[in-house]
Amino acid sequence: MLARRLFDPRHWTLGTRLVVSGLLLITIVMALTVASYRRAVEERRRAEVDNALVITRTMSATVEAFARDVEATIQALARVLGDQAEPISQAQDGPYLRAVFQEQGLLRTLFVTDPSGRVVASYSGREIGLDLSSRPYIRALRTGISSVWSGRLAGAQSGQVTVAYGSAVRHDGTVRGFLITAFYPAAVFENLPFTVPPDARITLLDDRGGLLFTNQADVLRGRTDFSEVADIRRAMAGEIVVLNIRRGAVSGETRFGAIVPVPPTGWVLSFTRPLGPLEAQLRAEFVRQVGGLGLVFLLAAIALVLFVNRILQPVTALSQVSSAIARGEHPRMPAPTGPPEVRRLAEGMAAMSQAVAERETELQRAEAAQRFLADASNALATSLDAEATLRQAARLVVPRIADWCVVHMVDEDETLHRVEVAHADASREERVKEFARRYPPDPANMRSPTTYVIRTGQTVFLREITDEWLSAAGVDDDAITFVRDLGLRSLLVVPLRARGRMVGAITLVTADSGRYFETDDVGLAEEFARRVALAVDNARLYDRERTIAQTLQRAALPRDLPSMPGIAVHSAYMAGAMASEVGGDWYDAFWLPDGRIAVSIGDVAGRGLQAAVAMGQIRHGLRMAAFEDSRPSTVLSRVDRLLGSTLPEEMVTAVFGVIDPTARTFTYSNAGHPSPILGMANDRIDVLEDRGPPLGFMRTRERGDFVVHLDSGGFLILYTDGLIELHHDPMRGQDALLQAVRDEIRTPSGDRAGAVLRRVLGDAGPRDDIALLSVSLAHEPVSRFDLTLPAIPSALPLVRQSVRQIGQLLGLPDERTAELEIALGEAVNNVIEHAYGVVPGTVHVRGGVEDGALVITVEDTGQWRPPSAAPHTGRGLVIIRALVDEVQIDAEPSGTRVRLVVRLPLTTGLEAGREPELV
Amino acid sequence: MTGAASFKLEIVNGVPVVEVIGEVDMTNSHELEGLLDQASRTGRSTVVVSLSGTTYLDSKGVRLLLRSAERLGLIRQRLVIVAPDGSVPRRILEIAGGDTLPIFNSLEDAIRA
Repeated sequence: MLARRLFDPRHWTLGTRLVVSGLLLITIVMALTVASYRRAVEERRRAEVDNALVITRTMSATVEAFARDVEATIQALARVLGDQAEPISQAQDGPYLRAVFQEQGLLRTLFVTDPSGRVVASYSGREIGLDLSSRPYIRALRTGISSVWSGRLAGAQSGQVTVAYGSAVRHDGTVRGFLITAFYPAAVFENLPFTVPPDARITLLDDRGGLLFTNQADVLRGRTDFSEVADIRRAMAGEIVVLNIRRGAVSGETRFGAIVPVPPTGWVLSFTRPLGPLEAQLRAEFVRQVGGLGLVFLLAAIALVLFVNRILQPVTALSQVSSAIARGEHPRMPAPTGPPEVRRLAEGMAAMSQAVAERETELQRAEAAQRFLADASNALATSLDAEATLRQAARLVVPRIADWCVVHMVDEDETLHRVEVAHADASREERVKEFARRYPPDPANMRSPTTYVIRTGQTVFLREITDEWLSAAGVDDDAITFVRDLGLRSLLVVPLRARGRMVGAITLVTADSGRYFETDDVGLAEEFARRVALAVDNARLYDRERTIAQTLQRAALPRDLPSMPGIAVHSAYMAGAMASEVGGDWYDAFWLPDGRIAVSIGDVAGRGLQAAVAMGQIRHGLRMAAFEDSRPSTVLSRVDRLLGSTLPEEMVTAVFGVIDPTARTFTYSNAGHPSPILGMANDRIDVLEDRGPPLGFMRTRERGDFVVHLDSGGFLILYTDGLIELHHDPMRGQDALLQAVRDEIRTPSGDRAGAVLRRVLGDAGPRDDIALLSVSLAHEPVSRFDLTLPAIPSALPLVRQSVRQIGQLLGLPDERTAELEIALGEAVNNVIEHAYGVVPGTVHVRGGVEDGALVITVEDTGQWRPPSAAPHTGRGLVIIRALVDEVQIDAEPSGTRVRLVVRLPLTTGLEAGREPELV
Repeated sequence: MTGAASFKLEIVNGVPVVEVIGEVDMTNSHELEGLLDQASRTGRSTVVVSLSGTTYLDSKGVRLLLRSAERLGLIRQRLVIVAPDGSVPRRILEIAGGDTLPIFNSLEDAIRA
């Protein structure tokens, strides 16, 4: 895996890639160079071969020239000797020969023989008479030819290879003798007009392949005859033979060169050079070149690595820096070094880093501002009192925004008053307060910053408070001294405005910290002020709403509760101490048209105006429904439908019930409300647990009605959950309530509701609102009643109920009671029909036992009207008179009193004066 | 709920009978009046009002019965009352001049009449 990564270029670092690319490039250049050198060597070799040919030909020309010179000289001398009259003699021709010999320079000898071959004259005067007729060249001449080249001759005295040239000397056509000269071929090569490479081998052969000259005699090892060598034979045939890298025929080594003929003599000149030195030289040259190249390669590689490093070092450093920036650090930027691109990159990164840092600082500032605003919002939300909110605001800005702060509030009557002064240094606060007290904003002076802000709603921002400004603002010298003493530097006054209304201004000042407000602070302060203003506005709104809600709730709860003989209804209401808002708890009790008493208790979840309104609507709905059909389940079902169609989905619980005083029953239906409790005289407690779902949840099914009997001395407690949720634990709350009911049975109070509330609460204040309703039944049947009712038809059933009860109590026969009911009904009817005009009045009915008779009086404050003359009228009085034992009518201008007396039978056990306890 | 009475119209042997159970007073007398009109529209010569189950009847109720009897008389219909002897309604009728109406002890007697 590692190896694969190592060899996979995709994983290489930039440095590796650069170095590898560089090396690859150098290698290619090297390869090209080597290849071109091979070609150069080839060419060089060919050039050397060509050169060798040129040298050979030049040398051959030299030899040829020499031979022709010898020929010309000898033939001219032979003509001179043939033309002279005198025969050839040493004496005559010797000096001449000498002169020619000396002039020639290279000759070995010069002499003349007679036709038999005997020496007759020589350049030196010696060897005269020497017979040379056996010599081949003499023999050749004696055959009649005019001239001859000898070929290889062994030197007579020196043993050196010699060549002779002979020409016949003719006088008048007859041969007078033979002129012979000889020379050492080696001498020809001694003074070549050019230098010969030292390793070159020069070989001159005669026309029969005999060795005339070689400069490297040792190589030939004494061999003199080369007529068998093929190249030499070809050259002897007149061909120029180029020896192009060939194993030498003689030495056996690889050589190159050429073999050319020398024309007049029939000789052959061979010039060869060994290939070895050339190759060696070329190789050396190659090696030197390649070595140099290798060195260049190495240097280039090193330079490349260094270069790459030099580029990459800053790049690596930059990449580390950028990683650090990414990690949120603040690394030191490396100095921009390296090539321009890298420098530009570094500069770019530096700019980026700075931008990031600035952005971060900006973000941190913004975040700090956001945090401050969030904290402020939270803190401001804790109070719903406008002034407390403003005081809180002053404490919030110091010292986070300003060194000190003064908050002014515009009251409902548009006047300005200072709410709070806060200073970062508590010991300086008094001084600032004194300043604020001595120099309050002048409401008439627009140059006073606070006044200006309140009037215009515009922020005042003064980065530096100067004396000039203070003077211009109309601040007197005393105040300026004060300002200087407080060390004021910057001033920022922001408006507190909510829903278009000015609620105040916040004056922010920097002083002791030495700080100045900047433009950013203005935005922050304005935003803060906006929130403060909103909070103040909310508090005011809340206050207003709470007042409305309280008014609504108070209005919704009934002012008067129905009561009748033997039955008392009491209520208690306590607002929660913790909750500053009104709740949706209610209680209600009212007469039904048939003389029964309807009671309801309930709770709308939620608080405030909405809950109060909903509560009012529901209570009203229950009353409306009850007048249609007072069956509790029907009443609740109607409100279910009402809620389902009109009201928000607040949880509403309620108990609605009807108390029948005659039957002494309580018929109720419960919509998810805490169970009513029935306390009975025999120490029994009945928790009325039958219940259906909360209001609004029972639109399809019928609600149930439940009936309990109400015993004498017993009482019914209806309550809202605030009563049992006192201790966070409904079970404990329930226990406390049951205990209170038990205590109440043993030690009865007049006002059961109030008593139970007191017993449950003890010293504790309730958290939530509590509503309580109690219905108490007298311990014993009552023998008196006293009712004041509106003079309307629905008063009748109540009156009759009372009579029925008292009749039962007194043990009157049912028929008698019924007759009394009718008589009383007639009397009340009369009041309803005749006592008042369009404005209804009241009817006051009292009943009780007086002197062994039941006496009932019906009073009104209207006018007595005699029975009208209309048919079938006026029977009321007739009926009354017929049904009671005694009727007394007192008609006064202030009102009328009708007194009915029914004498009681003796069997009635009730004695006058023994008053049963009243409820 | 208005008042504590219930009114019922039945046809017994071809005779419309209005039965009043409970109390008749100011608050519900108009209901009784309406029912009597309905009984009258059956076109029979006799309309019976049974007060056997009536617990309360005051002068208003008596007046209503008398007025109804007069109205029925105009179209030759007869209002007949059932109120047992000694019952409260019977007494009230007697006291308040309702005895000008034909009163029977039982429904059978009234229908037969």
